[in-house]
Amino acid sequence: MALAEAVLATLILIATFGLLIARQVRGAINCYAAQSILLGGLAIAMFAGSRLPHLLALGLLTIGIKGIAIPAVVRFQVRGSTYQRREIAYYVGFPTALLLGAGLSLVGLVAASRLPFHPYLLSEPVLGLAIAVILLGLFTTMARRDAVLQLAGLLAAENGVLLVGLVVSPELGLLIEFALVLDVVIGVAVMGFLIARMHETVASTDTSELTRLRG
Amino acid sequence: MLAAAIGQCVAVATVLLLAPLLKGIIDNLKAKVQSRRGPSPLQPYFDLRKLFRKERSASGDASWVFRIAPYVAFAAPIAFAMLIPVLTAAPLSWAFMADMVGSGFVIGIGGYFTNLAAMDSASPYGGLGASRSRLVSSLAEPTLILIFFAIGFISGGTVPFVANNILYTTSALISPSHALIAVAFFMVVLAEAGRLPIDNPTTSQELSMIEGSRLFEYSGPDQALMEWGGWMKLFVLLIVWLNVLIAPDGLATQLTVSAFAIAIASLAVKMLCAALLIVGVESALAKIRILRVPEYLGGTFVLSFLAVVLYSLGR
Repeated sequence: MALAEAVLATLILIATFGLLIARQVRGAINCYAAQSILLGGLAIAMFAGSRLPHLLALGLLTIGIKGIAIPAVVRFQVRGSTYQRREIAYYVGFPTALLLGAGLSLVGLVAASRLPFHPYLLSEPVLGLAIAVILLGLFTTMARRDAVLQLAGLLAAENGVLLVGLVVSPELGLLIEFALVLDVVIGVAVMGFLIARMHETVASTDTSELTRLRG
Repeated sequence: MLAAAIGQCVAVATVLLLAPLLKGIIDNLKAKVQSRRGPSPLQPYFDLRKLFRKERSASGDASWVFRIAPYVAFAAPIAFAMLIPVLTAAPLSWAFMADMVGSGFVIGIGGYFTNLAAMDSASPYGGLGASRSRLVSSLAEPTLILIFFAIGFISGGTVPFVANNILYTTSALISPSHALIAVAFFMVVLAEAGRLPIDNPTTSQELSMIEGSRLFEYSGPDQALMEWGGWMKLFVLLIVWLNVLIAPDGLATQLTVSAFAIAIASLAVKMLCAALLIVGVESALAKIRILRVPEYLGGTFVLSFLAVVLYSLGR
């Protein structure tokens, strides 16, 4: 495995940690954008090593759609009070989240080391990092009360799934990966509209406020 | 033997002479980023000359600790520079005096005496700065120890020169655990050297200072030694980051003049890149609240912890 792949995979994990401990909606969206751009960079670095053309396409698609378009759409939809708010609502405090995140990463790394696995383009540690990214993303959706942060966590977990895909089967056809990327776009659109409507109805994106909707 | 001693002296002289330049370049580039013209990169040398010409003054209540602290703070990074691969890949005469933990003590004793002196002068800001810098250092300690463990794991030795050789010659350089260590160590260097986001080195507000408030009571040559020591501390910590962890290329393998010239030039290029990185970080980030410092350093601890786990799983 080349230097670039190892560094990029590591930075993806660090960006996910950044999302987990982000205190502002703005910071969380930036972390997600950074994570996606790094993931796209990883795919392009793998293309440079293997000359599989669809990896280049996948990398460019990931950077364009997940790194630039989706963050822009989410920023547009949550503009105003949510975006500018300094501190977000949470269920799990930041130091606790950091420690639990370390534990979850540990689970991911140990799980990957136990899996039967034949390194192809990326080595086994990256599989561990990828599983850690999925767990951290899902943990973010649980730990934060803000709907935008939950969306960012879900998208980060989805990036982790794509990273697992890159490790396990980098030869997966472009068509399938394109379908996955499009799926994410539709998902973001739907969730973005839900967040916008929620903001209209309860004047907040804090999901705990939704209990007020009981008739 | 003589050649090794001369090489050692050249390495120390490099640290002594280039450390103020690094500070000057960082200040100049930061000003450029903020659309100001900024001070000349040579400004720290002018500052040193000015301070060495002034007379020293000390509080009548200050003890001997206050008087010797500048010399300790100045000597600690110099002693540290003898233990790390500044210019040569092969260990020089005094390289085996201490391993990484020992060299951590050597660099730590400068900060220790600075803190004692800050409290000794009984200035309220000195006490504040000393207490805060202890908070930062004590939280950085677990991370540093874990990084030493991880490097020891990977390279099979804790002497910086050995680690440098092993990392350079094996594929350990390109594993994710190595990358995690590199990121964590850089974050710790920023915290230990009093840079943003932990401490703002250019602030003029006493209440938000960490490093700066410890030097308030010093004047003249004492202040010059203190500041020079601080710049050298950043310089030698960055050398460890660059030459041991990131880019061991360019180090002299033989004790010849041409090899040393190449080593100094490559160190200058690497330092310029590090300066650009620091300027980028300091221009992008604001200083974080003192109560969030544990989170920042906790983050470095988590990264180095994952590095150790990742490496031990991979074996």
